[in-house]
Amino acid sequence: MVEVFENVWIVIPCYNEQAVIGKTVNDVLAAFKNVVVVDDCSTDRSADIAFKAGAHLCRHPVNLGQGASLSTGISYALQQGATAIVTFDADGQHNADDARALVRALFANDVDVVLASRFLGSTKGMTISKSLVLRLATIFTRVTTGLRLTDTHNGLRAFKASAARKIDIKQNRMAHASEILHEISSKNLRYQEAPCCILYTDYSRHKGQKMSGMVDILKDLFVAKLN
Amino acid sequence: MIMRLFLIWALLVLTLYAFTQRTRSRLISYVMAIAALVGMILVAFPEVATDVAHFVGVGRGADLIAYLFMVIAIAAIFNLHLRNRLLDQRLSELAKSFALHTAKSPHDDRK
Repeated sequence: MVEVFENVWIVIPCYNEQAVIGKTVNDVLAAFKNVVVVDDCSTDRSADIAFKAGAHLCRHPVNLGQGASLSTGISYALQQGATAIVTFDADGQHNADDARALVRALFANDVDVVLASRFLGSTKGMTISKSLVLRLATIFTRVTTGLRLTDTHNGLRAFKASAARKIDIKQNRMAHASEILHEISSKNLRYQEAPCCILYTDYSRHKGQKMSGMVDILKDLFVAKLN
Repeated sequence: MIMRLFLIWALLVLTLYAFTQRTRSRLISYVMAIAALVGMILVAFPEVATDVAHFVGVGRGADLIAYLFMVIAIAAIFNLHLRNRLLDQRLSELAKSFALHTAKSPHDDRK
């Protein structure tokens, strides 16, 4: 099993997370060998802290958004010869054991993508309004992509390298979560869900998506349809 | 009379500008030149605008010009929006490739 993890790369998009990025990188490095942090032009010390903690570091010269950071990180991992790529949030709400379970499922079940679901697993400290919005987003995505998923906006995902090469993230900002699912659907990638635990802390609640972000996401998706 | 001369002068400048832009975008340069020429005709013979307005079912010539101006302005904003998106995309590609080229590995000695 060890060799399965040898060339797995963890991609962590990061923007102004100096309070937590060091711990997140340390936790992930305890479970995986290769971690790349994509610093989206943070104005704090996130990049230094991540690099000192032992992560590879890519830095955007201008702030582009989380979608662009994932895209950069995935390209970097592929350049380094990744066999599988896991996307992981910087704010400490994911845990590395879930990421390992995703990778195991990826290779054991012969699928292209494994998506983590907090609704198959568990959540700690999620607000009711957050839960409601996520469930609405899930219904919206089920209708628009036809994918049968229980949690559509979870940053924890595992891709085989072949699948990661096919997925083209054009949405720079937060609409990439829906875009990735559209790519999975339109390119007929084999997918499955795996349970994960999400830990909501005061920090992640504060840093996470605001409900108003939903309007921006829908706008970005609508504009993308026009082009 | 002074206003007329000023408007015609401004529209002439616009026509010349449109002429210099024809290598960048043929379509936009033609549209701009035609709009400026039509504008000059309307400034010189304002009654034409009223006749045309009556013909297409708008009350006054001035209203017709206001409507046309709105359509042109909206088209111009849309065009700018598309250009802006294109520039955004290019900037993203540039920034991503910069990030990949300047990436640092913890195993690197040349930190």
